[in-house]
Amino acid sequence: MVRKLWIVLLALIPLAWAQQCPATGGTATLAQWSEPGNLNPLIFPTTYDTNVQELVFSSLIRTTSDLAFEPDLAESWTFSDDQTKITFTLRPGLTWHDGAPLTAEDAAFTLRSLMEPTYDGGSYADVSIIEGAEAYRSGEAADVSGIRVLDDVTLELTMSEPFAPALANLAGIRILPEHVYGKVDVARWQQDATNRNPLGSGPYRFVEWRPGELIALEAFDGYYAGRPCLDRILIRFGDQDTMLAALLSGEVDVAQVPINSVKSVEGRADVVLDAVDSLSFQYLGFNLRNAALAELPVRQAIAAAINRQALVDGLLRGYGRALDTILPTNHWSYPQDVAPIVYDVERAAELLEEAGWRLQDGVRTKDGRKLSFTLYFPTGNQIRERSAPIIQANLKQVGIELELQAMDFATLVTHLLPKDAQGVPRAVEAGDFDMFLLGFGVERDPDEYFSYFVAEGFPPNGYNFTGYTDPEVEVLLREGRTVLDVAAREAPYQEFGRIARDQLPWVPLYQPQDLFAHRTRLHGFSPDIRGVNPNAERWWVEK
Amino acid sequence: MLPFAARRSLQALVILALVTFLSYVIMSMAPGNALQTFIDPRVPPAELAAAERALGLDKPVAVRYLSWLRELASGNLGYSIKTGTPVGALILSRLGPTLLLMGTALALMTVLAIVLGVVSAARPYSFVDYLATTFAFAGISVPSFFFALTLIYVFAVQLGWLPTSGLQTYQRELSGLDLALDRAAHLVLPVAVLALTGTAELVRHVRSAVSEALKQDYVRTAKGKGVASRAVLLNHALRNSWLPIITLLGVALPRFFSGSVVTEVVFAWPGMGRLLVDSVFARDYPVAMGINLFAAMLVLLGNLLADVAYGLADPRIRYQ
Repeated sequence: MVRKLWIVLLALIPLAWAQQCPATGGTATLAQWSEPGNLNPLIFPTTYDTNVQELVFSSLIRTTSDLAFEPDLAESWTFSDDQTKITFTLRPGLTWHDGAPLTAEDAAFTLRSLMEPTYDGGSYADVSIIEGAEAYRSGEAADVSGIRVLDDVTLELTMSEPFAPALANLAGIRILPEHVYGKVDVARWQQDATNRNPLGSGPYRFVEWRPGELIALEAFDGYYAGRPCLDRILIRFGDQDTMLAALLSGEVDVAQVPINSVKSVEGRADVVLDAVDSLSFQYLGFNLRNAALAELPVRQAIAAAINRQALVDGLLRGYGRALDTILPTNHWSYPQDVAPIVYDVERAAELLEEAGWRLQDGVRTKDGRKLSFTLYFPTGNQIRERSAPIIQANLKQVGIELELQAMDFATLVTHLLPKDAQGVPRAVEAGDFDMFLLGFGVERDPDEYFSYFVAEGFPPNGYNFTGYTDPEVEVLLREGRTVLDVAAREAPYQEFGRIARDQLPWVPLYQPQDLFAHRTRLHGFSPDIRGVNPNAERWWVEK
Repeated sequence: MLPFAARRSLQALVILALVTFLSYVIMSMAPGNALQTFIDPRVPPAELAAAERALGLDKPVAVRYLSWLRELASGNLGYSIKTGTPVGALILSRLGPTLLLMGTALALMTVLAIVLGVVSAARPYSFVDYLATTFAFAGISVPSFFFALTLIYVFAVQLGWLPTSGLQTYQRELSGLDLALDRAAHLVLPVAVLALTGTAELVRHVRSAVSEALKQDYVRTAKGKGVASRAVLLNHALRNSWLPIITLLGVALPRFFSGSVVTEVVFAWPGMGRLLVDSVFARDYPVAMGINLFAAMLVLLGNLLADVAYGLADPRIRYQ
């Protein structure tokens, strides 16, 4: 009887398989605009690196498309009553791409590596909340007290205090095999050959990296969720226009579409356009140390004078929306009842009049000061570059003079996060900049706002280059990081969104959609807020 | 010849030192560094600063240049900040495709320019001459990226005759003759862009050099002696036009390299030009420095080759 049952079960496996993969085999080619730098996911990953890393590596848990968490290597996790301990239970029988078993020791190794004194890949902050991290990093302790491997599949992490973004941080840490990376000194990780020859446990196995051309991956038979439908994924790198041409000619199956080129994709029978809501938006930031910009009516007037809908219609060709506060509309932290920012030139002029700014030769002045500023904007994002002169013209209507200054991103950063003559990071001053255009994206957790909007985030300690402080906002952002229940976290962040709408430390501009296009031979392609490949193991191609 | 070569090599070393120093200083004067191309709310600035220190990016320019030079003396070009790979290995991996692209285009350009230049000089104001002049004018005025995108649109997207980009077709396993043909197909468009824009300029110079030679007394003498006009053109006029043509080719080599940067980017060609652009945008100075050094050597080599070729073309030239 038992034997019969086995036979039935075995017979069912291909059936289940067939349901998941209408066709198996074949190759899909993805194009991206830049070559990854480094495939060690724990060394300053960029989007281009991550797109490849997420196919090759797995994490303990991962985010879902609605920003909850789901099992990845860990099939379950529990919190202790005081919410400081998380116990992860790994799936049984996990293996690495080379066939070696994957255990809780690998996860512990990965987390501990980030705390090594010689580690400088930028992810220490993700694990610094684990008890004993600091002592281990400074060399005071030989081991990390907050990391305990209970058995091959059980890992217990103790936080030094309840910390809501901990799960989000862990979701971003891809687990490395100790038997490979443990042989390399952490200080050498940046330069080691494992950078370009990664070994993970994700759905696809790394095969080859041809510099300047492509990275080739192939299906991993031992993947815990079943072998991916495709045999191979190729990731090619090239210029935006060229990769779009390669998509249209059928050389690649997926390419990101620059908004200016969307017309060449719209309405084609062999290509599907995928417009995806993203969690990022563009904003106009201020240096609030500038006395004129510190006046709320001036900021309100600026917000009212900018025709944000025109930016969406004209520059984004409708692929996006005007934003009313500085949180993405599709995030649970977005306050649905936020008061809209209305484009109203007359109201903007009125606000300035009321605040004592009088029009004189086309520019508003008060006490000998002029409403005349320099707007810095980074090059690289064409839509943003083109929004600058529009904003300039919008503000000119109400008597605010803007001088535009385009610069590359690294140069802009030297204004926002300045250094002294010795190259040591220093505090921002009123003269460092007036206004700037930048994008912001919530990658994992709205706690990312913390460093931008509290006093302890003033450069050089954080990213509050605006110089914004508000006691209520500080309380809300602190509450957001200490309350673990997601439903209970909505309230403080949504309230933060309302306050930010009223006080306008940043003027929210627009939230663009990400545009991808894929050939119709590729099925199952469904990018979402997590990026281009959240379900790459389910893609299949027509032969 | 030997003392000449030795003297030139010594000069070359001094020039190389100057070029590397200037490019290092100028690049370092640009604000920001490789790590600042990246702000992540989860990475506190202090962690970034520590990473900068680990990479030595916090040291003064002079100190960094000297340590770069010291490493160079021991044959080490440093490590890429973006990828962590040794710069020498990175450049070597891109050298093959660049040489293939540039070599093919250079050969085609030389032949085309000489043939068109000689023919239009021999038959001034003829149809061929006007055609060559128009072609030269168009080649000089049309930006190469625009020309490249137009070719991609017409021949790859609309007609589907040629691939858009890359070194070869990646979805199929190819070998032997198939692979060679596939690569050749991928070469057509980038070579066309490079050769046509390069030829355009050269053709005008060849034409004027040859027509200048055609006005000389020895040509008239040869004609008077009854030498066939084709022989006059090739054996007398062209032969005496070699010097300016060689000079131009020597100068064209480095210019050609910079032209290949745009072409490589547009055609996603995995060569050094594209690597240079990527490294400059990523503020990956060690890589950019390595390629600069290579390009400077190419300029010097181009000039040296031109000088040596002078002697071969005109035995009257003696090196002292």
